[in-house]
Amino acid sequence: MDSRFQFPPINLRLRYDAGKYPDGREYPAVDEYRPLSLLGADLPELFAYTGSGDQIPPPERNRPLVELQVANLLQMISTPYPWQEEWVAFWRDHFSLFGGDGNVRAFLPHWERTVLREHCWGNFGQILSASAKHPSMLYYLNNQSSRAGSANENYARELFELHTLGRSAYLNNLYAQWRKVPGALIGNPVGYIDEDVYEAARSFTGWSVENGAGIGGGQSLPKTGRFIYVEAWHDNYQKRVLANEFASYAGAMKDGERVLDLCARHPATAHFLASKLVRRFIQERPTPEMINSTAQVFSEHRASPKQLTMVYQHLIELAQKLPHVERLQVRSPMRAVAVLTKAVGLNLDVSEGKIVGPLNEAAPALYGWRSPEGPPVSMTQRLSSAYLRGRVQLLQGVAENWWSTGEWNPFDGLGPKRTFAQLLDRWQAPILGGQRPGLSSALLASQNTNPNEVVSDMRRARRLVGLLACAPSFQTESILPSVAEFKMAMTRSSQGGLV
Amino acid sequence: MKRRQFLQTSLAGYLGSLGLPFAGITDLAFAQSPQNQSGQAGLGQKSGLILPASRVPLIVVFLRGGADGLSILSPLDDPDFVAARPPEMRFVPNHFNTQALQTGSTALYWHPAAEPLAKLFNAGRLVPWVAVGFGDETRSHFEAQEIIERGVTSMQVLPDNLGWMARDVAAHAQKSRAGLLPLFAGNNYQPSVMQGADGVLSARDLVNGINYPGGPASFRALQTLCRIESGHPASRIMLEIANTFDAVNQAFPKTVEGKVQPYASAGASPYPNVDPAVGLRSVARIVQANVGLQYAWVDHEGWDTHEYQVGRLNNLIRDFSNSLIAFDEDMQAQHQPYSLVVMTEFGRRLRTNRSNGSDHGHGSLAFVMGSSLAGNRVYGDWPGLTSDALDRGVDLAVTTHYAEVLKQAVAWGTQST
Repeated sequence: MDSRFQFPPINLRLRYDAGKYPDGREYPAVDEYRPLSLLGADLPELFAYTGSGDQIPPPERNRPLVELQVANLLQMISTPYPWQEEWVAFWRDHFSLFGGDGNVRAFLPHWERTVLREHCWGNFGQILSASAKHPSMLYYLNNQSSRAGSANENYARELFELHTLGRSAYLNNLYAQWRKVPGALIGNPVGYIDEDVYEAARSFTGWSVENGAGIGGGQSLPKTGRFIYVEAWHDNYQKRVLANEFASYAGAMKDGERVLDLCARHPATAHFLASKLVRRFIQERPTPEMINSTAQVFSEHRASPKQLTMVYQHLIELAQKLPHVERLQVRSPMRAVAVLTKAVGLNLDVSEGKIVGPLNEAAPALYGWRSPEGPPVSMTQRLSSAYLRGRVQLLQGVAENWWSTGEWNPFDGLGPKRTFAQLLDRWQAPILGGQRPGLSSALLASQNTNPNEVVSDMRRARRLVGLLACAPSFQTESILPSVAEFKMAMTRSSQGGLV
Repeated sequence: MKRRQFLQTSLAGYLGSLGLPFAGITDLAFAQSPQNQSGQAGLGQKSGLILPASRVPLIVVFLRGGADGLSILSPLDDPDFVAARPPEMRFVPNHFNTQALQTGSTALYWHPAAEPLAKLFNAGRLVPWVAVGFGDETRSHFEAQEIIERGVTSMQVLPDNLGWMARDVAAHAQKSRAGLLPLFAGNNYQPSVMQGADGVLSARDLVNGINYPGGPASFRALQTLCRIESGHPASRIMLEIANTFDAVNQAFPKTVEGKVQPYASAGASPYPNVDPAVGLRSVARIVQANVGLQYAWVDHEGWDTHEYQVGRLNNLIRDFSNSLIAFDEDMQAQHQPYSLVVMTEFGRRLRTNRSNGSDHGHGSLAFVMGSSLAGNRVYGDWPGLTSDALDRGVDLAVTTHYAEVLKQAVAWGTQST
């Protein structure tokens, strides 16, 4: 499966005032339309966007993230496989990163390309390993500054709790010593405790980023943003992680790689991921059988380079056994925009970039959730009052062209003497997937509009049709493909049809 | 961990007087509390936290990420503190620290950016509460936050699917007048503490009202669509919110053109345009609108200082202190009684790491702010920082259950009416 970005190229407006760097150098005002050139950029090019050396004017430093947000919207609009985008989004949320930190933000296009989109249909151990060595993750969970002597525990803790074994395998409340954890004495502890976190943190000391930091003896790391293992910062002495003894001086990166491997293959990891996946893609309160069977598929294909594709196929098969109404999930704002624009025949123009702000008010922004557990996914939380307000604003704004995204013809297919009732009847099926008895007349009554009056004002017509997209049924869907659709997409991608 | 010390704390004194044997803090606070035994509001392991009904709004400001209480009120003279933290991770006391706060024999100094807190303390409007937390040994943010927000002893025993604010509103529904908006979150997302309640308004910034896109006509459209599709799973959620928006906006004062008037503080210190002040200003607006608010929750994010702690804490403490004093002055000027609790999921490790930060710890620092406190002293028992006093040998121990702090805040709030 191929989830790389595939959409027609655009130029996105970049605009800021002239200003000065802290050292007094001036940079000029900019107002131009630039291609999305950072999506394919390598780390050294993106490194400049951290602000290092003041090569990029400060107002331009969020460009990597803005390009990424726009690219995701365009991809969602143009892809024939929106369910692939939701799969990418799951992994984005699972390994959640916060783009409010400039060091994390600069490398995000590279993260999305080489970690998420590259590995999300592949093997879990590989996506985990790629995430652990990526500068965005190394900065976000502070491993880049972790040093032997008093290691920084942030990454190690979230690795166990959020990326792999999960919080139900965190047994610190029950056991204070590693040997007390059931299974520990035969090398298979059922869960982890703080001692494992401490030892894993030691294992990752020295996993850092080439960011110019001094490494002693008057030497410094290069400034490339690339991963580097700094032997002098690593704690080389013996360790014990998940009841496995690590010999001292195991060799470059061996300790950390071994921790990742132990975590990736732990049964609790299969269970934790299965539980998250089923809740996200099938239903909020799944049966234990759904979770167990998914965990089993995850474990069985542990060594497969297509492990996650197999897991996905299993999820589809599970979902197909349920009635549609029992597997509804909230549509992401990008998906909602894609469905609306397709329904009304609007070729969305995002080159002004003004739609990004409203998109980010309709849900937690892409890479906008501060803490590493990722944004909430339940229906109540995704339709919280503030996000619902943002959602209504987004859908109405797109329908009514508030952000220069383009206009569409609401009278398409209607005669010259069309009435308000005919207008709404015309657009119900494309937008809502079917006719709702009494909807047009009730909606028009709420707007003090006579259904039998002839409608001629296009703006008013667009506004009324846009209101249809605020219906509850427009906010949800079951996005999983059928098994047949899925297999067809797999075949096409293996034939290179997508590339 | 010195669990026995819990028995000696001022607030837990009544427990000690019952002659209870050695027991974990969790068991004491939850299972043995006298309120619980008498069948009154309390917090049982089976029922989860239920506070006595409060007659004033109770506001919680939550410092997300685990605030380093040892840096906000710092035991700078304690040799164990000095030994565990290098000089760059400590501060030099400021001019307003002329008299250190005493807890037992330990002196605590305000962080240089916390002058507004010192002012509030000196005025008897704010009290610190040291070594707060729970008995569960978790050092996971999300588990610790969830324990506090759900009002439970541990995530292993869940009495229901509710957050404690939602549970409390339901429990007191018969007794209190039916308010339009019992729960408000000054963030854009709904916190777990309100999980299970319908029609929760969560909005970070209400300075200009709700500004629903499309105005009242759009409200009516949404309400109509929800009624037409009443069988849809999202319909009830959306309709509750639409109705709440509508009613709350109506309660805000309007300009002659019919727009919501921008909110202006009645106090002398303006609300800074940062978190958590923006959310607190929204709480103030809801309180002023008199729509039956019982509980509000405002998050302040960013306290997970694993690295570059000194600079980050300086900004966080400055913002948070300025926010609290702005809110208190606003409420005072309006003669509006209230109770506010500041809490966090846990404190941080006594020994700092080599990233110039600190890792997840246990006992934390809380504050109670309000109109009628028994103030001017430090609450809670200070367990000390000697290695035998530390929880699992590394972290400040817990001597007061977080629920006791909340209960005391309600009690003080009730006195003020």
